[in-house]
Amino acid sequence: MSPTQLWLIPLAPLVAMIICAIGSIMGLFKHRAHIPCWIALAISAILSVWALWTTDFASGVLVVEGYTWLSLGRIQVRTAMQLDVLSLFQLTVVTVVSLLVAIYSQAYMKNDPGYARYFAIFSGFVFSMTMLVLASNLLVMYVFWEGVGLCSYLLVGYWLQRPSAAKAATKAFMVNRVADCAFLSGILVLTYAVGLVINTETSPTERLNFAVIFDLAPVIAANYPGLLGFVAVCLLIGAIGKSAQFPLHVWLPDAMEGPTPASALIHAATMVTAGVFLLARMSPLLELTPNVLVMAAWIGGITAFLAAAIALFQDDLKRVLAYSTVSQLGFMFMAIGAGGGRGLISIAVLAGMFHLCTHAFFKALLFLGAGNVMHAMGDVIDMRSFSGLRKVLPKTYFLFGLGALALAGIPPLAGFWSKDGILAILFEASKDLDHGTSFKALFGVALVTAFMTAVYTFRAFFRTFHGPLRLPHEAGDHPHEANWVQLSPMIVLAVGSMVAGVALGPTGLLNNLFEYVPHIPKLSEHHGHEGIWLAAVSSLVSISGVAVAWVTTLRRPEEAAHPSRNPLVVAGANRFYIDEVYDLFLVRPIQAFADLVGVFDSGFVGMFWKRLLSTIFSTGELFRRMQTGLLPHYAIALAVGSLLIIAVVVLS
Amino acid sequence: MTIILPILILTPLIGGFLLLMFAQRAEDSFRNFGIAAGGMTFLFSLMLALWISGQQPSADSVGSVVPSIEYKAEWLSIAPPYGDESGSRWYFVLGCDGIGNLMVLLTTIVTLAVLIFSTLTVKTKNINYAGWLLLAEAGLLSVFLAMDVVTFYIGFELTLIPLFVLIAGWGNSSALMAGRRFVLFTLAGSIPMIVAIIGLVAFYSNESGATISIPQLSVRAFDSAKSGLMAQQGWIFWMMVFGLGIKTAVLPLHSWLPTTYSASHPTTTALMAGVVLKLGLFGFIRIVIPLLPGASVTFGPYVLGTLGVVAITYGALNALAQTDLRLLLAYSSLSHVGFITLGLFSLNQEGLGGAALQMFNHGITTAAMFLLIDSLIMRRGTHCLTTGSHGLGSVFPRLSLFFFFFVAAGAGVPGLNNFVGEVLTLSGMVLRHPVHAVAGTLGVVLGAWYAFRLLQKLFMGPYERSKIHGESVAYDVGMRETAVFSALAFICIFIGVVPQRVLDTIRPDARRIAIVCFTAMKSLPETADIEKLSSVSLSDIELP
Repeated sequence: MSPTQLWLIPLAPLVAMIICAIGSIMGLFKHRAHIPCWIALAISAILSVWALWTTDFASGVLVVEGYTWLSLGRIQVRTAMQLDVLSLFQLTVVTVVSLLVAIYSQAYMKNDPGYARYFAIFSGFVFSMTMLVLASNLLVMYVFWEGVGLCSYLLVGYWLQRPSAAKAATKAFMVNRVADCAFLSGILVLTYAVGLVINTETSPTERLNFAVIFDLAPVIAANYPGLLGFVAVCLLIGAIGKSAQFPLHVWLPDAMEGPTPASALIHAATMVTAGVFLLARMSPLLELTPNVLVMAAWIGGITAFLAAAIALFQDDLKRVLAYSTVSQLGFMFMAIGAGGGRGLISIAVLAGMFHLCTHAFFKALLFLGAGNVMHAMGDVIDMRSFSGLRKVLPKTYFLFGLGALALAGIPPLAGFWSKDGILAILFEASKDLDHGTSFKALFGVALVTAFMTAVYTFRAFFRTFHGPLRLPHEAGDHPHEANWVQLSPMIVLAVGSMVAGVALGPTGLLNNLFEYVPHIPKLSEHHGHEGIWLAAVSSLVSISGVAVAWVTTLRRPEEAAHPSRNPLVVAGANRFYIDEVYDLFLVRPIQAFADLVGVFDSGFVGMFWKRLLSTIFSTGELFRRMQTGLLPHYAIALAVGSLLIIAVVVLS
Repeated sequence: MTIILPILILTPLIGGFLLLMFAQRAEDSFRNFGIAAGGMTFLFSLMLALWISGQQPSADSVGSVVPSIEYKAEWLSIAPPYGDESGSRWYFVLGCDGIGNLMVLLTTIVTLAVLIFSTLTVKTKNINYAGWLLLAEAGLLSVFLAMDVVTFYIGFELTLIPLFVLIAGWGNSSALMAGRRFVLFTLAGSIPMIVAIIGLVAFYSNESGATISIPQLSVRAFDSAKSGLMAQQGWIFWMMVFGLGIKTAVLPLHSWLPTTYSASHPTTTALMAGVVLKLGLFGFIRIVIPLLPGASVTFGPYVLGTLGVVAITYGALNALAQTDLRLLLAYSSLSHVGFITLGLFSLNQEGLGGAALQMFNHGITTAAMFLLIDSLIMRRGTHCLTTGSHGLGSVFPRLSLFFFFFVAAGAGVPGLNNFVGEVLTLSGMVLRHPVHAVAGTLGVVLGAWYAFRLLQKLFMGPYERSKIHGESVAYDVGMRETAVFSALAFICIFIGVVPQRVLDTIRPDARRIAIVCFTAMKSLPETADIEKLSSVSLSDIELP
């Protein structure tokens, strides 16, 4: 493919964004703003599939040059696109899911007054996300990393008159900023560290290019292991923020205030996986700091378990899905963290990216299904106020059910294969000499969480679609099934959720693709005799989870309907009070400290200068008093002065 | 072409005098005269910029300040007061290099924007306001174009008079006090500064006489840096830092800034924060660092770099505590100046270039913010964050959009101008002292906190109309406002997306200053930078 065609992948959405933004400001084409967005995303999706198909990965990494963004002394940054299997794989997932969600959005957002604004931000997001994925330079990646964060902020706060949306948007941006601050520190220190070892005569000057970083990382690791560890931890924190991992996961559930299709795309399928992508992208560097990878795995494990536990107790369908996203991202972190075991990094990245791909399909499907429910229920999404919807939304019921099966990990749907891959890599890592115990424990956590996943998914599914038909009064008399503009992208996603696992995993397609990941040793064979029993255990766990959900939700519906007094349940419903802890121990103290500093500045510092000035004034006042302007006073002073001088002269 | 330099200063000067002298008699015919004069000045500065960007300074010049265009007033010279037998004279010299050019552009752009805006929001004595504004512009331009230390000093002091009139004449009830505070603070800085300038000239006087020309001084500074004869620079450095530091509001000399910013008319504050605050910073990059490289490398990174880091956090924390929009912005300026200080005193090409760019960026963004506040007060009646109407997003969508845009630019969102400056200043510092730079990133978080909380409070949530409505304007931003904000927004995007176009013009200057600093550092073994030197080789700095 020619560079021009490749540049069209990010630039087409950019053009769409500009058109839609102008339309939004000028009030033009009120109901046709989806057209430029659809066209642009179709171009991007087709081109990226084509690029993935035709690029010959064996011949090395293809870098498509752009323009010099920054060039000052030792800081050289060019915008270029790096087309390797990692970026193209993620790119294809992003653009395809974006296109499907954009199609869905047309029907979902139809009567919204901010229609053009929605599609402007949507296109802007896709532009930023594609550039994030394709960046060949860490700083460029950071630029678009922040860019997707800004688009996320704009979409969460899309209905800006709602106080909850305003609050959620600010929170999402701020939590991400905290992580981004660490990410930026990491980039800065990496600049410094590369400078320590770089040979300016022989090496290229673009210090933050991935190629340069990965070339020099072993040298840094040998000479300055502390610096490299710091960088790795900073990058990990950045990834934790964007991928909503514990303890920075608090923004994602609140981000559900945005329009549901935006939640499906940004806060489930694509943007939140950027953290996983960052870890995968930086894996040649992280490989040298196995402790940080183990840390990543533990964070993933804790998050996966905690979020699944919270999801069990939520009544809001979208929030269940949001916590489920957090939990599944935890699985991906565990997968990549398993690269902390010796020689496992490549297969760990593979497992993580595999789950990322399948998750994008079924989670987007589930969110769009929840969107259908919301539409039909008059924007009510609380599962306590409706049930038995399979009678009124039969098609959504079927599609949502497929997504739920995939998420729960029931064979042979997509989720089963990728989750099995993660369990396999964790099992493999538990044989590691240094960190084996950690991974043994994490393997257990993953199994338990897989069980919980099936339980909460099907609890939500049964509560929404089964049982007696109940409707909230907001729904009106005739709740309607979604139209075909909404259903057709869902069908595509459902097909993806069914076949993506089989097509990529057991056939070895993904394995073959990732064989050419640069700087990663060749994949070794990991499909031994353990494969069979692992698959059996994991499907057994999932099926029993569904059964438990069936028993607790449908056989004893009174328990589901009435609020429990069990402290664990209350704590779970209140998200284990993590938001409150942040508020109490972080936000308020900082605000109080800021107020204190404010008082110090206006009170102490300001008062010091004020006093100094008034002292000068009053000293001047003292001398001014002497200038009375009366001749007798001056005469007396003259006389006294003369006398004094004479006296001094005479006496000395 | 060199004649453009005096013309650049004379245009606003004459325009301002004309307005103040004759305008009262025929107010209507002079209504847009100020804008015309400001516009002409802007066009001249644009011509200068275009001319300079195609210009290469001669390669044989060895100093660290090399103007690509120079105007020497042969008709205005004085005999050196001492130490000169050769009969040479001191000339009044104007000149411009890449960094100066950027500051000139900033001045003319911001002044023009303020002039246009003042026709809308300055209700009393509109014409006089424009007149004094043009006089202030002339003073500012003479600082940015000065190529000898005397002109620099005179311009530095001359701006004070029109600024005092602007602050005290059009501010609120406490503006007179605030104006007085501003003048007193600045005057307190002027005395050490004139002493320091005399000391500087005396320090560098040699057998060929004393000189006041900055390029010549910089050549001598380079020589002294090579030979390591820099021990006596300390007191000159500190007096200079004190004088410039007051104007720059370096901690803890910043106390005049919040009072002045909140008491003046917002359009005045736009000029103050946008351009006047850069005077001191410009002094650092034009005089302190190139002419006193020895003292700069000894004290700069540690003392002033640390002060910069403290200012970033201190300013941001203070901003977080404010409920008055203008005070919030005043303290956020303090925080942003911290980034610039950090860049300046990293003393390498990346930091110096980034600081110069960030001076321009901050000027544009902050001026836009204060003008936006002016627009907001027109519609909201109050500048208080907690009282007054809320949820304006649905009522004034275009105003909200501009507000959002410039808040995002100020908070350092990538793709816009401030991000580039922040990254470069931080990169400069990380190559000097990594710990400082890492501490500086804290400002990125706090800066976003107050900025986005402000957006949430003012523009998001349901519309609540408050009872306080001084002079409520019910319509969204009008033609003139939209034109001003769109133009400023365009600059923000341009620099954010293709910063290299601007960086190319300042890179040679930043590089020359960095080389002087590097030379000084090599000849000062006691700076304890030996370890760092191994990583910062001269070949690094001398990249094309």
